[in-house]
Amino acid sequence: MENTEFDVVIVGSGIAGAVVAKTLTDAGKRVLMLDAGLESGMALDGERAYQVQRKYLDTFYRATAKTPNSPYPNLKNAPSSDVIETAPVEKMDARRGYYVQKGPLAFGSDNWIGPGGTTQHWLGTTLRMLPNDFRLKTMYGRAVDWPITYEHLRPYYEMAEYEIGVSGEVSDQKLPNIGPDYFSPGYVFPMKKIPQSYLDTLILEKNKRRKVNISGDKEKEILHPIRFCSTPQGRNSIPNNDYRFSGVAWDAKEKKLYMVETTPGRYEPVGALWDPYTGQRCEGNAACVPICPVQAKYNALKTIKKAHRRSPHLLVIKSQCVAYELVVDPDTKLIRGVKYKRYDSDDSRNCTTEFATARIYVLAASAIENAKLLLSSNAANSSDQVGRNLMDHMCLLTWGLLRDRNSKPLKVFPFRGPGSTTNISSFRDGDFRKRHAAWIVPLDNWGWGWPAFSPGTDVSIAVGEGRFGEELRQHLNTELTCQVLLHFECEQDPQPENRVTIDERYKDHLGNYRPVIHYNASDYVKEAFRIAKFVSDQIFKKNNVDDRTDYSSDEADYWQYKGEGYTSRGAGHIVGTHRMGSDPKDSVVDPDMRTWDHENLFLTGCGNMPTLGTSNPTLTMTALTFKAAEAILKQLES
Amino acid sequence: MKKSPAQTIVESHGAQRDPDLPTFLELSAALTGFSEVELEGTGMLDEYFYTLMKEQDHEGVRAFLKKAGDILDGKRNVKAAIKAAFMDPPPGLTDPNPPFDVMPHQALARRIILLWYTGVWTTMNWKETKSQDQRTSIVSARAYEEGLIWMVAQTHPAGAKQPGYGSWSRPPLGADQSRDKHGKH
Ligand SMILES: Cc1cc2nc3c(=O)[nH]c(=O)nc-3n(C[C@H](O)[C@H](O)[C@H](O)COP(=O)(O)OP(=O)(O)OC[C@H]3O[C@@H](n4cnc5c(N)ncnc54)[C@H](O)[C@@H]3O)c2cc1C
Ligand code: SF4
Repeated sequence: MENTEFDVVIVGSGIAGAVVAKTLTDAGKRVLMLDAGLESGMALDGERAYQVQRKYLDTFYRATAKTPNSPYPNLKNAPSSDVIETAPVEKMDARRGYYVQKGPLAFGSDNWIGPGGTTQHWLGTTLRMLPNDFRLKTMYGRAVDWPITYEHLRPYYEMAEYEIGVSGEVSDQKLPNIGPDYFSPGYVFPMKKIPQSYLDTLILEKNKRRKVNISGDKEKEILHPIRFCSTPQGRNSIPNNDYRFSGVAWDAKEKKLYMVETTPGRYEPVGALWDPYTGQRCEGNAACVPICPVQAKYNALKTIKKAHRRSPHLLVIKSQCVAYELVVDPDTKLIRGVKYKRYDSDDSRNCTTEFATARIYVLAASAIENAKLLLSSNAANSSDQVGRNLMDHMCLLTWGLLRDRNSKPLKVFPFRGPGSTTNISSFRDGDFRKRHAAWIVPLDNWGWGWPAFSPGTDVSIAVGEGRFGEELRQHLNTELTCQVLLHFECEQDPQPENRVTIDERYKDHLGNYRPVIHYNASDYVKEAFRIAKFVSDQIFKKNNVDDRTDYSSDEADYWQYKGEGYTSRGAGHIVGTHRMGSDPKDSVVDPDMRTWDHENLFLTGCGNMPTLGTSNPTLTMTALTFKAAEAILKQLES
Repeated sequence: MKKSPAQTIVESHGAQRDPDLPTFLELSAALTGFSEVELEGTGMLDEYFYTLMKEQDHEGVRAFLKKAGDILDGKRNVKAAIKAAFMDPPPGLTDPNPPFDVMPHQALARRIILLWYTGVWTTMNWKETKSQDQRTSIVSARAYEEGLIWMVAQTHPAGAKQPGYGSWSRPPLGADQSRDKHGKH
């Protein structure tokens, strides 16, 4: 019998779940959202929301390791992965932590299980993918093509940019092979670009006409230009008076979503949950990962709050509910409900087992959790692709101290502003993709924070060297103000053996499965690292950078390739565990993100992406989520 | 009942300051390279002194401060004397938090520098806590915010005292950079 209380059950309150919830409730549908995190954190307004933020901030200030998850509770009953657990696979104890890492490399990216999900600690970079990213197979004979093209996704990108509130400059986006229709005519982002950092301007000036050799061989020259581009990002700046949209709505007649047009100049940045006048502009807190104190940076609770405000009677949110199984009807193959455990408090295993039903089910629990849930339910896996093709941007970091022509310290004053405001875009696409992975290079505004835990470690090292007094102060000043860091974020290609599985032996506190992860880098990515390092060496040499890059063999993801050692690091971009395709035999969902196997089950999140491109995935994933929401509405109304 | 050292401090706080506190301040200035006024300006002096005094080996801490007092009052080159007494590690030792039982004075001096710069304190109360991780902590949220490291890096603590929209596109206040032209907007 069909349940009539809810049209849709959504598992997860991250950006994917939030966008589905808002789009559906705006169209009058009744939605139940289940979230595994603490009830107290699901605070959308006023004093309560403020107190939650104070608590997160205080925890962050007091954390000795300021990792992405450091401000937020890691629950026994709904554990989060944490990069701090990452170590060489052979040294990891499978009884500890959350991921069970089977290697050979450790998967080095985490997410946060809790209200608002991982957007709580994301950086907020919101680049679109490039047209060629959708057809790697056709263009370069690599990976797979998507079942949809960039052109299909373009209107949904605009919806995502509205919802996240993107600040950026269209005319700066001179990207490789994009053609004139990359942005629709007259399009502008909702807000003006976030000012580029002082550091960016210095580096940009020195390198804007530079070319580098990308052959990987000093004897052979294949020159490739370096092009810089301001980075669009989901943090508030000055509204763009030419922006002409005020929302996304469902056209019930045409059966599609559309952007609501309004008189230009009306865009209002979305401020903090507790006070709309706080966070109207990015204030330069330089802590976006892991927490924006003023909430100038987008997080998914902003979307949930809007949905809840507009349709309080249509959106029911149940916290402390951990979904663990989808029940499949053996005859119809339809999903009959979601089983979840509702726990009393994080201190006890006390929980009740409950069952949620609706006409349509949406998993929005993030790539790894979605895969885990499907595997635990034996659902959606006729293709045997669930959990496979796990991807991330594998990052090669290179760092040093900037010097002028006379080898004197050249201060760039890092540790200020948002994490990154400029990127090198010219390696995002090109014929080289036949040989090795493409990459993007964000210029990092936070010194050596990522690889070396600066500035704290610099003090310990200097003191360890016996420095003190005025000399210590001077030394730290010249070191810290000259630190530069580049990331070469390489696109990982889909590999079926990079996968999430489950195993009876590994369960968490509530008896739910922990993800068991097999992970490695292909030669396609390793070759990209080799060339990227070759390029970095040229850039550093030309810019008088005193290179301090150091890859040590006892680091988690250290490996050797063609005689050189490298350390790769995860970017937090967890992608590809239930990919979309045009053939049910080799994909999990169709282009509407409906599972091939169960007509009333949709998957959202980065797991749907067949490949990852060189952009941080969340904007693309959000665009896809609008597309999925549209398909859900269509199905509900058919 | 015997009073704990911490109680003694709390009680003596207020009307009369602990006689070792000025020594602690003067030594902190010599160790950090910041003036006493700058250090007092952080508002952290009492909390840091208290942090030090909470260590169980109270006698050891007093002896350390006594020695520091002697050096600071002495006629000799104070810098060289501090270096010899507190900073020079035996060959091969680079641990910024050397074990207390091995080198009590060096261990304390280094911890005091780290405390002022980063708000981090590694306690020497071995018996109460198990692992190195548990012994090391940031003593308070304020200690993080007031870390001298931010001043030295010519910035603000990440996540606090934000300098305002667009500030990062210009050199920071007081930057002695001849190339300021790039930063003008
Ligand atoms: C350090 C870092 C920086 C990043 N920076 C960027 C960036 O700059 N740009 C970018 O594009 N991306 C970035 N990302 C990636 C981005 O954060 C994620 O892609 C995005 O937040 C994923 O959203 P989601 O809604 O799919 O999943 P999540 O945000 O992970 O949300 C999952 C939700 O599901 C809930 N949940 C999970 N399991 C269950 C269960 N069993 N039952 C009930 N509820 C459950 C959780 O509580 C949570 O609410 C970054 C990631 C990290 C780690
Ligand atoms: S720079 Fe600061 S204010 Fe701006 S988004 Fe990051 S944390 Fe928030």
